[in-house]
Amino acid sequence: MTTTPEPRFSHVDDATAMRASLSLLLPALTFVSSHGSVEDLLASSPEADVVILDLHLANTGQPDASQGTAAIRRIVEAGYRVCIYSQEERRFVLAACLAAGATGVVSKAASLAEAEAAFRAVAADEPVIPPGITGLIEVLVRRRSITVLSPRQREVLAHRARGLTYAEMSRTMYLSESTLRGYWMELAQLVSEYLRETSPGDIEHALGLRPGDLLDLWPG
Amino acid sequence: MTRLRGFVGVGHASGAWILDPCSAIPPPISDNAQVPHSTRAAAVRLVAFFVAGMRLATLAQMAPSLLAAMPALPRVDHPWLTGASWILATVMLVAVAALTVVTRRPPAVPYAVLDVAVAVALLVVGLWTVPVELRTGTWVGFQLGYALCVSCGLSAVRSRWLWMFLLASLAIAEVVYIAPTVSDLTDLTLAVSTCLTLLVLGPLAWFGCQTIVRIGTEADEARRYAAAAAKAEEERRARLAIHNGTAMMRLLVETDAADGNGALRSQAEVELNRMRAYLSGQTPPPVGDATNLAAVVTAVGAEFDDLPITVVADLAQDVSLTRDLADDLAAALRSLLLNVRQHAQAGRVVLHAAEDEDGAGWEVTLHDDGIGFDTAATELGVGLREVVVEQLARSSVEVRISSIRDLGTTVTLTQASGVEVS
Repeated sequence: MTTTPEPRFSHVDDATAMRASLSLLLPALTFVSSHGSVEDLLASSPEADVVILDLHLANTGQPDASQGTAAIRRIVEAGYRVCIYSQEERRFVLAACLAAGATGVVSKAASLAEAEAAFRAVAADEPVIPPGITGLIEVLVRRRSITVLSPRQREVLAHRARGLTYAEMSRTMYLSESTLRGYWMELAQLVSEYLRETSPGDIEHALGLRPGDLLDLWPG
Repeated sequence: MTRLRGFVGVGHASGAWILDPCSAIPPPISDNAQVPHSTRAAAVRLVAFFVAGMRLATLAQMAPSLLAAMPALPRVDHPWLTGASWILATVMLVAVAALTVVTRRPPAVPYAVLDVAVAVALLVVGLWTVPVELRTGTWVGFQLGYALCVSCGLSAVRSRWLWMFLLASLAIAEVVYIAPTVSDLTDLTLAVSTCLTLLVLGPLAWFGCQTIVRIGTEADEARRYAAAAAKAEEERRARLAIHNGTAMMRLLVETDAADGNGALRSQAEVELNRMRAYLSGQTPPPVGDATNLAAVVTAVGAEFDDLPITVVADLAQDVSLTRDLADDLAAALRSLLLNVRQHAQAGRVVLHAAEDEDGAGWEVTLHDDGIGFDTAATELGVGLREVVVEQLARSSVEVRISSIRDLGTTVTLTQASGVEVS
């Protein structure tokens, strides 16, 4: 009998207190390292499956530190999955993180239980997308910018955008939670590809934004 | 999923309700309910005056013949019987008219039966007291006119069978009374016409009086219904005006948040203005300028930023609401979010608004991942029932509540496609 290996996490945050406390607050998770910058993470090359990443890493002590979408890209290119763990709430910034390759986005305001569940989901390659961003994806689908979703996937998207859990969806859609999770993973995969491959201009147009609104946020 | 009529909380195993308050009409009024300014009472008085008027008119028509008949009594065959007939008829006419005027009601059933009995007796006695040649076409033979007057005064007799019996008794007595006058075809037609007068006018008066009283009764019922509806509406307005305000006050008292929580203070001020407007009989001032669905939802969500709330309204940007619906929707969402704040213990709240894909309707969903509740066993509170369900139903917005214990609650507000709201 084979057992699924426990996922390993590495934490990148410029706040010393956060780096020191997260592993203590989430003792059920296996933390293999913590770093103050992406450069330090990449130099250490820890044996981790998921990097829990704060978005804002530059400070007076490390003014040139990589941060934002650039940091995400570097970590993803190094072979890690990335879960954003940030106080950032601007939806377009968070959507840009997904476009840069992040698998999940978790608010630091979330409860510890919710955060732990989200980190584990990312470790299992399950996208974690907050309802706010799911709402943006709904707009892209409604405006025919994303056209590859099946009716079931669209239904799952609508429910997720309204905040419903798999358990709740299961009762109304008469599908098992694992089936719904599968729909969501396929959907998120398609959306991530769309975000990576579509120009900021096209997304601005689809979302009804002004030209240039996404330019500074979107990964180049 | 169960569709409910009325407000009783009967749900379904799936934990979802659809609430339809369209059956929220005032309860029926009992017969014993007191109604001021009763139209029925006025109708009964009218009938009473009609009966009294008939009696006095008959008396007036008899009077000249009475004055002529009294001096001639010694010359007739049965002077005592004739005199007694005139006196009895006069007394009955005056007594029943007086009774009717005093009580302002037509003679009750016992009086009506007595009245008919006397009229029948006078007709039969008339066989001896009235010469055959004077029985029709004169008031010396007053019995026919008297019988007609009595037949028109039976409106208090509700029983159709009793009324028909009384009328038939009068008709038969008339036939007996005028039968001796028939000697040829002309006499026969006159006799038939005389009988038909009673058989036509009597029922006409009876049906007319019954109809007038029934119209009065129905008017009273309609007035009672309107009063009950107005009372229910006033109570609804009162609940609407003060529900959210009391919830706000409860929060302010229980959470010590009055000093530090600006959102609570702002909401309390809104509800205070609403209650003041209600007490002064004015229309509550609009809470915000927004009548766009996305703006309304976003503004209400911002008032509850102490909750872990996410507002998703991108797909509602193109939905315009009427001023009234925007205010009602905002009040309903506030009530729902106050419920979440007070009861749900939610870690995440999502307020989502979207226009239908065909652009004709819209849907607002409020979901929380809190403790949930049993929709089958929980009766809706005033806030959900009045502020949310009933008030939004006025704009054809359907409310659906779905809740699963320990998983959360979803409230869906839907304005269906093609609904025109003025």
